[in-house]
Amino acid sequence: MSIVTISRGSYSRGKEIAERVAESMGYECISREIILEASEQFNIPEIKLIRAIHDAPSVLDRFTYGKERYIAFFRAALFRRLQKDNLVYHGLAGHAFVQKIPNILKVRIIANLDDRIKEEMKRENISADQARHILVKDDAERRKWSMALYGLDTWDQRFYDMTLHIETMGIDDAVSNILHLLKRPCFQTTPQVREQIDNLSLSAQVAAALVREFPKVTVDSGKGIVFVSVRGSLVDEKRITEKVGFLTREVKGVKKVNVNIIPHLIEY
Amino acid sequence: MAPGNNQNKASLRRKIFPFLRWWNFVGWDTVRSDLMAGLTGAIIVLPQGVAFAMIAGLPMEYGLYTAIVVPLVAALFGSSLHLISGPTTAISIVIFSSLSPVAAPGSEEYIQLVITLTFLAGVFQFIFGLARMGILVNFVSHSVVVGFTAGAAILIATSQIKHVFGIPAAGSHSFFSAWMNIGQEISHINKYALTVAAGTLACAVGFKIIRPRWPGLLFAMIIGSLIAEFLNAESNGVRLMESLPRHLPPVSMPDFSLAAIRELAPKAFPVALIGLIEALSIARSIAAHSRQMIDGNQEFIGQGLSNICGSFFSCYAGSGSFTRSGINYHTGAMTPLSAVFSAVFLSLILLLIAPITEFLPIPAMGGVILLVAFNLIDFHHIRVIVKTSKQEAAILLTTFAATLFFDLEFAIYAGVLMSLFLYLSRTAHPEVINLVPDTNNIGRFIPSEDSRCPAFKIVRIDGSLFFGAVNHVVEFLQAIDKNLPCKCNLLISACGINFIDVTGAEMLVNEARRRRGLRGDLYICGLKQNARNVLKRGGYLDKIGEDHIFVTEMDALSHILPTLENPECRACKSPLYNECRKKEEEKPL
Repeated sequence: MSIVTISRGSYSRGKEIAERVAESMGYECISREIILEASEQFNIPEIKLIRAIHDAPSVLDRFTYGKERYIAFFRAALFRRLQKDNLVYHGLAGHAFVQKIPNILKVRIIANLDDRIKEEMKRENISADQARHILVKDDAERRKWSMALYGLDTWDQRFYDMTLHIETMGIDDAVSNILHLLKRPCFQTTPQVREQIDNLSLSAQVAAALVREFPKVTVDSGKGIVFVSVRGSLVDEKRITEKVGFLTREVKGVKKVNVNIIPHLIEY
Repeated sequence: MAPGNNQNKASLRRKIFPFLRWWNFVGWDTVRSDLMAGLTGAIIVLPQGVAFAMIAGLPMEYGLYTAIVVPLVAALFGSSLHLISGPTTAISIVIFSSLSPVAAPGSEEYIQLVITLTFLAGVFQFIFGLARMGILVNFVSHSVVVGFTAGAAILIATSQIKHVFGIPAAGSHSFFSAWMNIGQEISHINKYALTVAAGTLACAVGFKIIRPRWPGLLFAMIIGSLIAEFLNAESNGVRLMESLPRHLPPVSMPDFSLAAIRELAPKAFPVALIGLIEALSIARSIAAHSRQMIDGNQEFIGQGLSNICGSFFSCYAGSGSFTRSGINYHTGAMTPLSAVFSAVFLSLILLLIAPITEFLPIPAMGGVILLVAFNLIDFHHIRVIVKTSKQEAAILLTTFAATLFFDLEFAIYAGVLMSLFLYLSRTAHPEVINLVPDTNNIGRFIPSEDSRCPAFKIVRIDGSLFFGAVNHVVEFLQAIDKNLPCKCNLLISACGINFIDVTGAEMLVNEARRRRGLRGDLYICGLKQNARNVLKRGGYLDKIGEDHIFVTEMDALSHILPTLENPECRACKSPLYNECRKKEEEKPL
C-alpha cells in the first residue's frame, strides 16, 4: 500500500525503473495515462495538456491563464488515480503535486548528459548536436515550469526522498534501493495519508470544476467541507458565491462550500 | 545573491513605483473588469468634466484634460485601488472663488494662473506625503466616512434633480437653496426629460439586478439616448451634451516666477488641503467596502504627483471624485488600471467620436448618477453604527448634516473634531471597577458592589492614568471614603493601566499619603513594566513603598490581610476574603 513518484529527465531510463518497481510490487505503473484521462474527462486536446505541464508559462499565459486551467485538469485526474493507491507514477510534474504528502516516496533519477544524448540519438536517429540541443532545452523548460508555477527547482534535491544517479548504480540497484525504501513504514499509505489524499483530491476536483470560470481559484477541503478562494470584486460577492455553488454542485463528496473573495493583493 | 537582498530590492522598487504593489494581481479577469469600469467611467466623466470646468471658470475642454491626465498619474502613484481622481465640484468652486478676482475667468491670463496654482497645490500635497502627514487620515473615523458618504450621495443626487426634471433651476452649492430653486421651478417639469431620466434609471436598475456583470450604466445611457431620439426629446426642450474639441491635452508650462509663486502659494494651500481631504475620505469610504488598507502618505504623494504632472498638460487641480470612484467600484473595477483605461477611452472618445457625444441627453446622465448616489449610501453600516453606539451615531449624524448644510471640508473637520472630543472624553474617564474574590474560582476576582468587608477594598482601573484622567480617578477613590468611611485600605489592580504620566504618579503618591493619614494604606498589584518604570524613575515607588507593590491580587491579599488590625475586623461575622477566614480559624478558642 504505497505510492511512488519518479521524476526524471528525458532518456534517463526512469521509465524502465518505474516499470520494474511496479512489476515487483504488483502496482500499476502510469505516466501518459493521466494526460489521456484528463483530456477525455475535461474535453481538452492532449497536446495542450502536455504543453501545460511541460512548457514554462509565457508572458501571455499570465493573462490568459491557459496553463492554470490545464494544470487544474491534470491535477484532478492525477489525484483521482492516487486515491486508488498502489501506484508508480513516472510522468511529468508528479512530484510538484504531492509535495505536501509525506508518505509518498518521491524519487529523482539522474543520468549523465552524454549517456542521455547517446540514448536519444539511438532512439530518434538524430545527430549528437541535435540531441544535446533538445535535451538541454527540455531540462531548462521543465525547470522553468516548476519554478514559475510552484517555486520548486526540479534539480533541488530537497524535494525528493531519494536521488539516484543511474550511471553509478545501474538499473537493478536503483530498483532494489527503491523497493527497500518502500518497505519502510514511513512510506506506507496510512489512514491519515489516505484522508489527506482524499481531501487533496476533492480540492483538485472542485478546482477543476471552477477553473474555467475562475482561473486563479485556490481550493482547500476537509471532510467534504470545501473552502474556495477566488479573486473578484466584493461588489460581485453574491453572484460569485452562487456561481461557485452552481459549478460545484455535481462534484462528488462536496458537503458544503465556503467561498472567500479575494478583492486585491498588495505586496509591500 | 541572498534572498533577503532581493526582497529588499523588490520592496524598494515597490516603494518608488507603487503600481508594482498590485501589478502581480493583474490578469485577464481583472483586465476585463477594469476595461468595463474604465469605459463606463470615461462616459460618465464626459459631462462632469465639462460642467466642473465651467464651474472653475475654464473652457470646457480643460475639465476633460484634467479627467485624462490627473486620474492616470494618481491611480499609478496613489494607494487606493478604486479611487478615481480628476475634476471635482469642491475644488472647482475654490479655484473660481480664489482666482476670479485676479483675472477674468476663461481668459489666457486666468488659465495660466490656474495652471500655476495647480502646480503649487501639487507640490504642497507631494511635500505633505513625503513628510508622512498621511497619518492625519487615521483621525477620520469610520462613522465620519459613512456620514460624509451618505451626505455627499444626497448632495450628488440633489445636483442631478434639475437635470432629471428638465427644469431650468439655477445651480447652487447650498443644499437648501438647491431644493428651493427646484421647488420654485417644479411646475415647469419637462415630461420628456423626466421620461428619458426615468427610462435610463429603470434600465440601470434592471441591468444591476438581472445582469450585474454587464456595464449596465453604459447600456442604460445608450438606451436613454435612444429613448430621447424616439421621443424627439431635443425639440421638446431636453438638453443634450455639447460637441467636444477633437484633440488630446496640449503641453502647458506653469509660471515659475517668484512673483507668481508668492501670489499663488497662499491660494494653492487650501486647494491642496481640500484635495487631500476629499481624496482620502473617498478612498477610505470605498476601502470600507473593498477591505483595502489605505496608505495615507502614498495617497498624498499620488495626488501631489497627479497635480504636478497635470499642470504640464493643461489640467487644473483635481482630487478624488465621489461619483466616479463609486461607479468605478460598483462596476467591478479591481485594480487602478481601470483609471488608466478610463483615461485611454476618454482620449479615444475625444479623438474619434467627440461629435457623437452631442447625442447624449443630460437627463439620461442624471438618471444614472441618481443610482450611483443611492449606491454610495451604506445603509448596512449606518444601521450597525446607530444600533451599536450612541456616540458614534452622533458623529455620523453630525458629519451627515454638516455635509448637507456646510462646506464638504467643514463636514470632515466637524466629524473629526467630534470624534477626537469623544475619544478624549472616553480616555479622560477610565473605568474604575470594584472587585471581589470569585467564590467559585479561587484566584479570580470579579466586578461586584459587595460591601461586606468594612476594612479593605479592591478596585481595578481600566485606562491610562494621565493628567486628563486623574480628576476622575481621584473623585472615585474619595467617594469610597464618603460612602464607606472605614475602608481606608485600598488595593489598586493596575493590570488595566497601560500608561502613567507624572500627574498620575503624583496622584498615586498623594492617595497613599491620604490613606495613611486615615490609618489605612494604598497597595498596588499587576503593574505593567512601563508604568512601573515611570514610578521608579520619578522616585514615586519609594514614596508609595516598594513593599506595597505586588504581582497579583492573591499575592497582595496574602501579605496585607494577615497584618490588618482594624477594630471592624474583630466584629466581622462573614469575612469576604479567604485570608480573613483562615485568620479566624487560627485564633485560639
